[in-house]
Amino acid sequence: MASVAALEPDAQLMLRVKQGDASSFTLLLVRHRTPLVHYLYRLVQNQAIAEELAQEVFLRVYKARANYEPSARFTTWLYRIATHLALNYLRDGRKERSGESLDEETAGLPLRQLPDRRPTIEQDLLEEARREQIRAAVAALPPKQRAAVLMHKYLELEYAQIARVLNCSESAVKSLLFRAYEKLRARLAHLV
Amino acid sequence: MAWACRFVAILLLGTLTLAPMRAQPRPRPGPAAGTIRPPAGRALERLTRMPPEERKRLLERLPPERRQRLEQQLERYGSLPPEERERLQEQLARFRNLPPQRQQAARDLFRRFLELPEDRRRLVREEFNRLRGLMPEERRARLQSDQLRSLHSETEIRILEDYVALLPRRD
Amino acid sequence: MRCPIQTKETAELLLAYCARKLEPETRAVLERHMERCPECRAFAEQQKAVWEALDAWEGAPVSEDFDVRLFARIERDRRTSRRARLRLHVPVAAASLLLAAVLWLRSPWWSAAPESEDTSVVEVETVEAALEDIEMLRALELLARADVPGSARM
Repeated sequence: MASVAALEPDAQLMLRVKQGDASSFTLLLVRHRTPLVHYLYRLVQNQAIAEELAQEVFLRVYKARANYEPSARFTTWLYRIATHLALNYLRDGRKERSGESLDEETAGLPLRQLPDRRPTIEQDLLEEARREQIRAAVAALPPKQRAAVLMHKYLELEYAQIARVLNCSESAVKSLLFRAYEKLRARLAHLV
Repeated sequence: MAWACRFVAILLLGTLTLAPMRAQPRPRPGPAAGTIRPPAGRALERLTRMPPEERKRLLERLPPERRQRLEQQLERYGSLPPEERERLQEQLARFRNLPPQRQQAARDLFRRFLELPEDRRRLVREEFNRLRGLMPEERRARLQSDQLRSLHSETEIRILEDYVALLPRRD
Repeated sequence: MRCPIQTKETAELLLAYCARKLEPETRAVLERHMERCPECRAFAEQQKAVWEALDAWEGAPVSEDFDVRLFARIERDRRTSRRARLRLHVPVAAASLLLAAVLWLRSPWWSAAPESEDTSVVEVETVEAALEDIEMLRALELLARADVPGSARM
């Protein structure tokens, strides 16, 4: 195993958590909380559920500290847990809602709160409509394609990392991304 | 018989009760349930505005070096005008929104930047400022230029390249 | 170069181009290709549009009590695990609790209110992390607007 100094910073922190250093867990939480919640929100498209899932992710990380080994990057491990939980949630939710189309389901979601810097109401409405189209386009992607795009675009993970998170090959990831972006281009290219 | 039972009970108590209770308080992440924990910005403002005695009591548990560093940082932050503090907090929120790997790359870059001698840091910072004002293609050209390469060491050039890679994509 | 759009394997080149992740030399070769290939050009333009659209989809702020709820959850989980272990030692559990109460009352490290100590410790750590990042942001100005006038240009 590589020396601790050679490990990435998050892995070093996690090893300190393993040794009982609670402040290192706080630091990991501070660093990863926001991107993780945002990733989960974009994946499940519900802020409350996203936060709930994110908490479950951190709880599992904390519980696994005694046996932690830095065999992969910390973010790979973190997002592997997160994606697994989110895909389970989506799959279980879809069983309960069988018969309804995804578009019908997402149409009922409340509009997001807009920030307070608004020049005009018309611009507001245009921006919100634009965001709604983006959200709907992503929601229409099959879950694995959606997860791959979100990791590629917002987390900037490399193909190899995405492959480890999704437990598939790199060529499978490239295929997922190619198909996903193809669908997104069809729906969103007119927006700009 | 009663004494024997008591002796056995005490031995068992020793393994069950004392073993998990270490000499140090068991490190637990976070406050107990029900305690409100403010977000980073609010916590920062609270500590900045805290009376010196109260802040001293709060920080005295820290190791001396860490305490001194934090006190100096709070001093510097507290001396900024409120608008500047607000601007920095907004930047902090935006920074924490970035992908974790990008955040870490920025911290690594800063650590390498701080390892430069003071006079070299000043020159590199001037170059940061210059590069920020350029369009992406101009930045790339500037990084490849003989002029820049003649002014900076390999280490500094790598810092500048990594800096450009971290700049927001939309200019 | 071979047209990237013809094979999915090398279409990733176009994705990397739109994500601005290509090395300068490869990017230059691809741009020269796109001058002659309308399909690749259209792909790149549309993909950039998708990228910009996705950029506009920001996440909402995380709830302010997120951490509090998480730590409460961790604590509940710890107590549940502890309860499961205690059930195995029912005869000794009662005596253990009695001795634990005696030790708790006499032990110095329980004398301070653990809740307020924990809160302040985590608050200090949060502030430390925030100040480190703020100092970095001030020094590097990664998220500041460019403030150098025209003289900055080459």
